[in-house]
Amino acid sequence: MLEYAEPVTKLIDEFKRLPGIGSKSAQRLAFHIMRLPEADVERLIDALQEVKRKIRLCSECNNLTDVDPCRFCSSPTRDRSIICVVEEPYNLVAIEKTRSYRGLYHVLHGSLSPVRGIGPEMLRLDNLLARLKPENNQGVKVKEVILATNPTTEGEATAIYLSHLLKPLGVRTTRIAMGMPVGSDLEYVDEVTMDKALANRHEI
Amino acid sequence: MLVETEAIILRTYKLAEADKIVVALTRRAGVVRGVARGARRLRSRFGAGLEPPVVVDFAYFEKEGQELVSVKRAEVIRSYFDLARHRAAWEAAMYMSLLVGELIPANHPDERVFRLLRSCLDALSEVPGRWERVRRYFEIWLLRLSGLWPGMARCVRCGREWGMSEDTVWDKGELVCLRCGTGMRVQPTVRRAVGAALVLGPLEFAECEVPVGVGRLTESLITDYLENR
Repeated sequence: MLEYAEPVTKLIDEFKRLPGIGSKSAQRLAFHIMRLPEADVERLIDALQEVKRKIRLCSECNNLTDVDPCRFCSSPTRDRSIICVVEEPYNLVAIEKTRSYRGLYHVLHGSLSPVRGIGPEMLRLDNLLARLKPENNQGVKVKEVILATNPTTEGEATAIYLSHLLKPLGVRTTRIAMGMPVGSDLEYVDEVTMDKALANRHEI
Repeated sequence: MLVETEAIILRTYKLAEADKIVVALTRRAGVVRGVARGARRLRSRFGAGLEPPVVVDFAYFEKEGQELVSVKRAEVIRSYFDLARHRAAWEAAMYMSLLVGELIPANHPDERVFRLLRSCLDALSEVPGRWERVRRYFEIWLLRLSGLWPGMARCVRCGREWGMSEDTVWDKGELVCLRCGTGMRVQPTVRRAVGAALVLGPLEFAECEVPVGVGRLTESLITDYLENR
């Protein structure tokens, strides 16, 4: 990067540190920033600073929030007897889009991964177990925990681990179904997905 | 050039919005690294074919001078997805896949490594509770196939053959007699278990008693290699 002025090189280097951004993309983003009007750049800086200043983890569910507890945990319209466990905050958004789930959430911030050195102690589990007691859940007993970890081997291992923790506590523990995506074609489905789809079939 | 071969998916990493970097042990070309475009999309053509560890019918394009190949097909031949139901078995499977990626250089075909990993993954699915023994078997053989396994028949320093019940020591990466060195003791039972691993299959080895010294020896060899490479 010797051919650019030092501030430009610095900006490119910072962009390169972001996930999924290589040299070319970093260069393109840096040049885009340089072409922006001053006001747009200020707005971007404000947004970055605000997110760092205001966003924290909800003390109940570990979701990213600007108020504690988050809007899900403090909402009087949510069903406090069901908790849906997800790996990351953005997984929660996918479930919310369905508009059919009205329970609470719990975000683990990861999944078990021996390859990446992530064991159970690195998942945010302590406050999940605490929430199962009515005294920590506004007097409501948790009836069901839905394990909505990803349909990967890591997500599956995490779900199995959680089920071993939760079942002895007398909580109904369910796993989201794995199977055919809507709009796909049986002809092209692989045997693992088909096997899971058959195992998770339901009566109509 | 299009390459079509059987492969075991060892590891994947997220790339950009919907892609994956794939590390695979192929039967024909050894360890290859490639990009699977769109692999994280809901209706990806790869489906469960990139969920490690899994044996797949694998096809990729490679170009001269390019480190990453372009993955075109990964159709499931044998999936080990259900190993995730037993954490210790799944961890052993992931460990074995990781070890292949660390010990076997890229683009260095050796069908024996492919057959070893495949047979050990099969064994993990078939020997409930004896996963540790399969893991040790895999370590011994992988170290041997990578040329890291030491000579065990005699002292490498004085050349004397061991007696049946003679203790030996592991000293500076070599197995030597008590007169020639000092270090971690290697009991004759460890040497016998290693000898058994070299003549038995993983399922048969899983039926044998495996002393803890075997694990100490293999782990010491692997750690030495990884720290000094």
